[in-house]
Amino acid sequence: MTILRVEGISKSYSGALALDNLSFELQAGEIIAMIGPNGAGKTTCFNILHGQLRADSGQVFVGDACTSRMDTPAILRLGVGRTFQIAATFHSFTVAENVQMALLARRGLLWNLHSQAGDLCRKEADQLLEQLGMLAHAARACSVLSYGDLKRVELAMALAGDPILLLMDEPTAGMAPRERLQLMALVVRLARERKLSVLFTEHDMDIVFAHADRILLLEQGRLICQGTPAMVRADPRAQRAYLGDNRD
Amino acid sequence: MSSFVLQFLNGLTSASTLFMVAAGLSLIFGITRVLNFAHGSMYMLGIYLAYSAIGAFSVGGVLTPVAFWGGILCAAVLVGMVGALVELTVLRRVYRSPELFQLLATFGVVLLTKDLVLWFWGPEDLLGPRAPGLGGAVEILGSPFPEYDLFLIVVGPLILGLLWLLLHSTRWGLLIRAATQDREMAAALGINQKLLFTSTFALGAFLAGLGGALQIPREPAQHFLDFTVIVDAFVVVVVGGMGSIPGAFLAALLIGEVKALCIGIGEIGAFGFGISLPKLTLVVESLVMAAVLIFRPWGLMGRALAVLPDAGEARPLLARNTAATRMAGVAIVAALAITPAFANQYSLVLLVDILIFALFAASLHFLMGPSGMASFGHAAYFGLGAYAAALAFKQAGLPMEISILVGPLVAVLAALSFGWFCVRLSGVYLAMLTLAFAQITWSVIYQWDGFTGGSNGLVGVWPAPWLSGRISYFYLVLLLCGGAVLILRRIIFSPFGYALRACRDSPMRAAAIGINVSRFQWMAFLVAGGFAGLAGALFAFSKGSISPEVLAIGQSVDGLVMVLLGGVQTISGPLVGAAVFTWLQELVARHIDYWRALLGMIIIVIVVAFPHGIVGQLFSRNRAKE
Amino acid sequence: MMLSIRSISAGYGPARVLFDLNLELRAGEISVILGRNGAGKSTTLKTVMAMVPLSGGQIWFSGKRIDQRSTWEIARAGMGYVPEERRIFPDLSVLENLEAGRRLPHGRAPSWSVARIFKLLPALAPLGERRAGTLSGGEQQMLAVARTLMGNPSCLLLDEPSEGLAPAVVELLATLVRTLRGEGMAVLLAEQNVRFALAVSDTAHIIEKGGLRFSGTARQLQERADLRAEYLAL
Repeated sequence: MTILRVEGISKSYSGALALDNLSFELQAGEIIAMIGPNGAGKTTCFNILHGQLRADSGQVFVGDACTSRMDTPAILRLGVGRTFQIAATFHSFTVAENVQMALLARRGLLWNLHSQAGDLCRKEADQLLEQLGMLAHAARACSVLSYGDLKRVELAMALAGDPILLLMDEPTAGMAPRERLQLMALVVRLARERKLSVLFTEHDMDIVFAHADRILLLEQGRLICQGTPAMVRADPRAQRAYLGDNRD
Repeated sequence: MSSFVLQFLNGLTSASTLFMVAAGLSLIFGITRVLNFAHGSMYMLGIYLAYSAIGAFSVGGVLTPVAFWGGILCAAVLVGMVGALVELTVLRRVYRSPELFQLLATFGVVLLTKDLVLWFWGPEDLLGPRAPGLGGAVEILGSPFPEYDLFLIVVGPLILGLLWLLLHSTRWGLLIRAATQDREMAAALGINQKLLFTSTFALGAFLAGLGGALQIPREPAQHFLDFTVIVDAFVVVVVGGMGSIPGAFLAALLIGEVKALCIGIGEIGAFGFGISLPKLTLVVESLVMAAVLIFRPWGLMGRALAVLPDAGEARPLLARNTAATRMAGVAIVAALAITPAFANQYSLVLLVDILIFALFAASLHFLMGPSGMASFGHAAYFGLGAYAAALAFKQAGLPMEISILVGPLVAVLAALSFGWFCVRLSGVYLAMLTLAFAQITWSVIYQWDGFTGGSNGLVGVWPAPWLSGRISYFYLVLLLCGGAVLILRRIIFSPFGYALRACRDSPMRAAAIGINVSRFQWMAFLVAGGFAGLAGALFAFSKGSISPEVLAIGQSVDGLVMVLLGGVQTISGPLVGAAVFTWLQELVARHIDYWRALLGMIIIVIVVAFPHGIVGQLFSRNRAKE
Repeated sequence: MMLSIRSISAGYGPARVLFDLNLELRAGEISVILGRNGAGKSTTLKTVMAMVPLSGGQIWFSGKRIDQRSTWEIARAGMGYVPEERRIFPDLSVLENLEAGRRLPHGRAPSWSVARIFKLLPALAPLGERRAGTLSGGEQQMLAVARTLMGNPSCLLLDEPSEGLAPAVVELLATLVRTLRGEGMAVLLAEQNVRFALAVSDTAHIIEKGGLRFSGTARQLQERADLRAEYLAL
């Protein structure tokens, strides 16, 4: 089943083309890496998929619904979650409160001036934290966590929305090498368990080749090659993009 | 026609002065990114120093041109030196602190300067001499126009030209422009920022001092000029674009002429009402600013500010009630409840004030703390609450019990409309828009003589007979303010309050989990405005009379100081801040003449000693332990 | 040793980018840091300039420890830095940009002047009065390098100078870098363009995931296709 279908989206900023007629598909349960040099258009693509930006042309479908004109909350309700390149958590909250916030937002319980937020959705939050191995940290402030743990909290928040598709912008950036492998193994395990599709960008090629079912290679807003890791590795266009020889 | 031309010239005159003050402010902001509230104080110092310097130079009481112009120049140079001193001793230490903390530091300087001026020159208005040789008037289209004003019209463009030369044909000016565009890169090229910052502050203060000193033949030196001038200067800088000198000139012309035009047009009739435009100059000025901010958020000639490296504001967790804090709360309320048994009338009056301002501070804190939006104009809601209650009681003849509820209701409506615009902006710009709305409100109340009593205010706003005793009114205030503070606290810990903190901590993440950030922020205005309005209504009935002071900028500043002093990071901090501030104001002011200076000193010491905030300091210590 | 980076760790806030990184640069040497994007190349250069906070390790420059100094002091000590984004002052003219960078070296005659810059980079000469923000990408890159040279640095840090430039401009850049070496200046490049990098450098380093993976001569790396495949290619 196709979870995500991107049909020829383009986007330009003040004349410069950031995305040029990009099309691809993502099947249920598939884990796809989107790679490419800085400025290739990966973050722009994510922002469009998650409703923070509108494409100039082209369409995006999540399941059967066309999301090209939807805002973020509507896209979230369709089950598209997101994590950021620099982990964005609410740093004046505890770990558990961060996850509770995500759960409350997902269930539309935020317009409530009376209940004590700290008591709501606590059990569900703890369950999610347990799955991510973060239960022991539930009462700690996010501001004192290690970066790797912060990334896990962010992941828990994304999962709180019960997504069918997870967009992860450089999930392992800023982490120590060992933490990276652990985190990505965790993401893959959760994805398989929850039948979750994952689209992620990543600079660490060990991670990409170890975990992606398929790879999309972007350069200057264009998809220049895609396929299984072995296919992409063998593609001369991909090698050129990475070794910089295409410039001369 | 001739009056029109004269008004136009008047507009040019005031534009010159406005430009001199605003150019300095803009220059300072452009390079240091500090919003310098003390800039108006530099203007005021300029007037006072010019008064004294001219007097000192007039040997044997004879005013010579040398004495006059020498005095003015000397005053401006002295103010420039004061500016450098302020930068070296205070601001240099807080460049890496959170924005609000820098603001607090400049507030400290404002308070200190104010009392220094009062101490040295006394509270009376001081009228300076006329300029020798420029004391007369020239005939323009049959009407007299002061020569000195014509001179001022020339000075403005002259200063603009000199500044332009300074910035474009000296190496120093080049480095200023480079650092304004990209401070970090300038440092990477080896440009010493300390020297640059100090000299910019000195120049900015010099310009403000000069602008003030040149006013000496036109207006008396008064000790409240600092606030009136800083508001005008902020408006000009925001309209022109932060950091843009030509923008400041353009905006000064625009604002100066808009004001003059209002006076020139005079009374107009519309929809059967007579609207007196001259009385509404401040409204029009603020409307211009609001319009510019909404359609050109970075001002006429400004551009989006480059994001500076994050100052790393430490925000601790909000502690939920423990048995101990709950006990302490109950104990304080119990202690307050039995106070009337042994307190005298005077203490009760003071306690009522403290309770009311505690609620005012708590409502402001709700915006600044959990919601992360600095409001420079919170007095608008307090004052509207007070006036609405008083007017409902006096003009509409409603009973006092109902009138007290009308206050917060009107404040909520105001917050709804002001907030809708404010949440479209952020940071300093948002704060400036709140200030603009507060000034609009103030001038409407101030100038609507027939309905609000104008500058005299309203009298005879007394509680109903069953509440008229000091003790019974104290209990009413304790009940309502105490209850309101508890409700605010409850809201902070509710899902709604959590959502506000989420929007503050990371708007990006909040949006990504489906929170409509600006709608929540809008509602935060509503809550904060409503509770400030309640405090205002209670205030009106506690005093029996109100004046436009309750919604003047001074009131907003008092609120800011209460919140920042107590600590914006905690819920109880603002309450303590309000109590200490009100107590200082009421009690200490009786024994120490210069309590504002004392407070200013305390603020400066705190800011310099704890550049990350008191609570922030404690927090980082805890963090180090962990 | 001109520049000595001794087991530094650095990052942004809680995010760590460099882990225990060592790197050395001799006077008159051109050295390149290679690595995929996100490996920590830019962060290394920024950390040397104190634009990214250091959380461990030391940095020595011309026999003095500089890791506790502020950015402008490091620049005055003779460290030139050209950022990846170029960061020319867009509202200043080309000449004004050069003037902003001008700085006299301690105790020796300045080797750089506007006249010399224009001689070496003739493309800039007719643009003197143009607003820098209106220049093309290649012209901006030239200007950024020239502006830093006006400070008469003894060591130059160049962050991805060839990125997004036309081949002819890259060639010009290579010539310029070789000229600088001829005058005894040390240059540390961060690059992704392997061919350009190896063509101009004496020594090369590969970093990945914030740590050093290879250090040697450019020629050695030229011969090690295995290393290039492992750390630079896909």
